[in-house]
Amino acid sequence: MLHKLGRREMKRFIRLILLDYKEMSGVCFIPIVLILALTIYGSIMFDPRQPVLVLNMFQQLIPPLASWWIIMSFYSFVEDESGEAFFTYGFSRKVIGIGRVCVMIGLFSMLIVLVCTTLMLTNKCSIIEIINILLVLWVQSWFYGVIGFLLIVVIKKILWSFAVIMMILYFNIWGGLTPLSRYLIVTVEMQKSIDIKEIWLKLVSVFSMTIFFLIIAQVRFTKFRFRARK
Amino acid sequence: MDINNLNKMYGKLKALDNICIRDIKGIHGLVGENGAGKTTLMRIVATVLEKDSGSITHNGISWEETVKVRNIIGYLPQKFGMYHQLTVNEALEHVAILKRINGDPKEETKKVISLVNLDDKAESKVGSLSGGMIRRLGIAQAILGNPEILIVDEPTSGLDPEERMRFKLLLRQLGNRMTVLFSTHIVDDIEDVCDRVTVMHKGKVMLTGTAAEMIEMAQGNTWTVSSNEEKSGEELGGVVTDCKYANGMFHFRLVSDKKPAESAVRAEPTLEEAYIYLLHME
Repeated sequence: MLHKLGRREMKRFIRLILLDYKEMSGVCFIPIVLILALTIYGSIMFDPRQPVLVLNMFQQLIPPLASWWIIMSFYSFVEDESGEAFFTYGFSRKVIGIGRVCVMIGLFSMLIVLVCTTLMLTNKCSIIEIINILLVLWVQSWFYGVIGFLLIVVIKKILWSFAVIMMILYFNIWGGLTPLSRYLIVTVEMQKSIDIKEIWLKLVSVFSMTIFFLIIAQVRFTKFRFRARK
Repeated sequence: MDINNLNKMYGKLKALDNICIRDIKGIHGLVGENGAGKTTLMRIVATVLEKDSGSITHNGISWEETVKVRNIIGYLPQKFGMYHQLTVNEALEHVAILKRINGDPKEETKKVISLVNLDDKAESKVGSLSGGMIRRLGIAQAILGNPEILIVDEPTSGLDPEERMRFKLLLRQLGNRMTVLFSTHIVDDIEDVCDRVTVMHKGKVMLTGTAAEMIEMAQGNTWTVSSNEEKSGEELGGVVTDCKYANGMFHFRLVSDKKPAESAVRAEPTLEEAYIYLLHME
């Protein structure tokens, strides 16, 4: 869909995204700061004989952050007083929905590349392992990014959307393996290296689910109308 | 623009009851008390709400064609505040992109900023603007892309007198370039700004015409009465619109369809009294 945009439209779209980030102001740096902190911590703590410790931590904490920018970027539509005026603008819902979500997840992916590059540069993992970690985190980030999109267009409240993500995070960290985290997280057993076959099976399934949720979220956003408050 | 037999229900509440307003052009005011249905009507015209039945057309475009309509309208809602972290320039550029205007967003932004007289605030953050400036920014976002119809919902409420005057002049200026549909519950605004006016009450149209026609309807129904004691409207048999105390007497102005007292003298109605007469008649 994005490739159909002309050069002028693409330029405008990029400017739109830049302004979206500027409007988020300081809060747009939260995922960056957290990921940098996790990367430093993970690099120090990483033990090649027990990769499960750091890898699980990365899987539990990094991908949910992909939803942050996406939820925040819909603030103007759902919570701002100007929300009503937005509904009269002639923008394409696909570009502002799927288009923006894809770009934001794309930008988030660069942070994941940074995490993996750091692990590699500290010589803690082989290239094959790094590629697999990268793939796992990337697919999971897509999943959470799309979940963020779905939450904001369904709940229409920034705080509640974040609350759901926080709940998922909470259960990921302290609740043991919930059905969702069991479904998403690639488990690496103690003393073992990463099983590539298991990763691929899981990733295909998670990615299919992501596409499914993305379609639902976009349909919902296309039908999104202003709700008059009495 | 023509509005024909428009109806809208909120559950069991009839918000709009068979609204017909023909040949809307220049600056058209909608006046009515809170809950009269002005905002509902504005929202339907602005395509943010769906009507239950009826039609709206303008130059051959039907409001069923939402995409086309959105290209010819600009809307300033009652509550407006946007992009607190962006500068005025950036906020309008963002809107220009969302509106998919034809020209260069930066150039178009400059033009509307100048038109609403916010040049010196172009690089200020939106969050730092005063209430009046935010309304002007609201008008700027609405007129981006040069729409044929501008819809402004109660833009003057909450503004200080100077900003209100400035805003009315701006609307007057815009009325020469586009059709402006302007709602308010402040009757003075109508008198100062509008070419024609529609009075709404409980979801119905009471009258559509000029301010002079509205005053004409109330001719012979506005009275002045003097009394040595303070009296209520009920005691006087009408709706009191003004009361002054001078020389030991209370001098009342009231609206009533019959002579309220022997000593009552007919007076020339103001637009506000004409408005009260229209509502009182119902």
